[in-house]
Amino acid sequence: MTPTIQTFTRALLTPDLSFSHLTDARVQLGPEGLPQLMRTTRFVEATVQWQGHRWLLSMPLSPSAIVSVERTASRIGRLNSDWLSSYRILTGEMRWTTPTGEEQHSDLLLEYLPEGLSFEEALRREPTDRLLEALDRLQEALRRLEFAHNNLRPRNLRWVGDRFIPMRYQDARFGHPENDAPFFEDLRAEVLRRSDPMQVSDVTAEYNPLCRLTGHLWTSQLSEGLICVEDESGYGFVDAENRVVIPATLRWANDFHEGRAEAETETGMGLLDRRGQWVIPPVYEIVDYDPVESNVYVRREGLWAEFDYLGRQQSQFGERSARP
Amino acid sequence: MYTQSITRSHRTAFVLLIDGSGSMAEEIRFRGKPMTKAEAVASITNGLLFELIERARRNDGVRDYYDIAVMTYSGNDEVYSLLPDGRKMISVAELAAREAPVRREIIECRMPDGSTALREIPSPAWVSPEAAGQTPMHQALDEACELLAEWCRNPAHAESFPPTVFNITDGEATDCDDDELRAVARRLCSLRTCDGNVLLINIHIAPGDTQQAVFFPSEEEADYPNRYARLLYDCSSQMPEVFNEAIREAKGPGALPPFRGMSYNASAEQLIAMLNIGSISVKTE
Repeated sequence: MTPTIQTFTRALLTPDLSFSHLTDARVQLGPEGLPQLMRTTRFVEATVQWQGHRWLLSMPLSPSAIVSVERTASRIGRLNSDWLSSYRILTGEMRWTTPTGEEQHSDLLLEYLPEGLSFEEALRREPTDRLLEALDRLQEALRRLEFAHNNLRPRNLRWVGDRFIPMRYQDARFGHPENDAPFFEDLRAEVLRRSDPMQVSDVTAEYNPLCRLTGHLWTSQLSEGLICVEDESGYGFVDAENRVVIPATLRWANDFHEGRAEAETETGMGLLDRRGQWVIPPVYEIVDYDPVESNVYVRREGLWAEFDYLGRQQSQFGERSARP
Repeated sequence: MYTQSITRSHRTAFVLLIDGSGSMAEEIRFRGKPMTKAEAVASITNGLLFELIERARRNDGVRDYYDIAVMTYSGNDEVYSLLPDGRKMISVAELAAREAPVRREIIECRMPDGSTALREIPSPAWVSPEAAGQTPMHQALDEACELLAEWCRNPAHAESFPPTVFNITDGEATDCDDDELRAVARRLCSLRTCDGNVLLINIHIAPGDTQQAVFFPSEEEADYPNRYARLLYDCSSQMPEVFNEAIREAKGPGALPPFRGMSYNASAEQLIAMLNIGSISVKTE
């Protein structure tokens, strides 16, 4: 059963009673003390303050909504790209009670909201050339990531430092980045339409460029002594001295956390240890590793099961509703 | 049928008919707390209005996806609108623009260890509880008929998803016999747009939380022990196939269509689920 917007509202007002992880999150309230909500096609979202940052917290409005973003969220998590915000599904995050008194847990979507400016604010503060150049760079970056946002409107962009970061990936898909071309054209047209005499920005936002190593198409950041890299041959890991630790033969790989990294090969996703050995073999559609809980949820043919840190299966494969 | 997307150019309508008769002063348990049926109905109605408004809220404001009417029937055979200025029907954007009084509501949260925690939260209240006089349900359905006949005649609505009527009652009409009630319900459900007939959903409130709740009943589930059960079942729309998946998800995998648009029993929380399913099963984009 899908919770209502009223259920979500009540949960936002009682986070300590209703959420698993976001117990100390504070929702942005309107003048009447009610959460400020905004609906998208398949989600309703609210802005929350949590752990010193702002986040967009979204609740699916139908059972199919969360399924529609699963692959995108999983792949963004593995990319670790500095062009995309953190975007993850919080499985079973919201606890609520059905009208018949049964306790239910529903997935929520959590997206990091970068500090910076809205598109409108950026138009007012930044010179036109800089904005156009930033749009060019973003389009090229998304093309390299093969990422199609599919709804790249002004409200879905943040100006962070010297670049635009896209937000709200509910319609995004990997593959066909050319889908965004019309959106970029509209954005450029909007920048040109609103171009004002150059003003010097008096607002800067923190932005930390990622570690760059030579000889790779892409590099992630140093995590537990290893850096995920992308070469022509695929993804792999090098150490801080750029020496190969795990050969770049993977289709995708995530950073290491607590000695484990999600990775994907031609045969599917699995979980690697720091020596490059498979703790969970790469045969699954999705592998969702939680380093805090030291558990792993894997999906096979649409069904989920839990594995432990050592790769031992803890539960039978079951329907999505059975997924904790 | 029943597949038209609800948009600003193809808006639909929701009509809430609320039994405010004297019998609504009777106490039931609602969300684990004793309260009158009228208080439960007001809470349910406000929850539905909140849901309808928030589902229409987009980044550019509340969009006119639907028109809303809220009528109560009570007193000396009176049917009147509860909307601002007594208007019979307004758009959801108009309703949202009228600031509802925000009251403090105590909600009960069940903790994982089985204990409960109470919290006071703000809650908008468009409707207040009422309980007085007769139950002119026939007249209420008749006025809904009139209102929606005009709405459906509007060429702008010809291709719209058809209107939905929620009738929240304890079942006892005082202004007609059973056949007359069935007749006016049939007349209401015969109104249509190109996308389908008007849906009449009866929400039957009765005291006694030991009785089995019935929720979008199939034929055999409708024979629950209440003298108004069969009557309200007969007066309720058969739910279109497009709703079957959502209803089955709510009821459990064993539920088999066809389902009727009604609910019964005191677990007033069931009513909220029914209302919400009714409102979320349609596409709003």
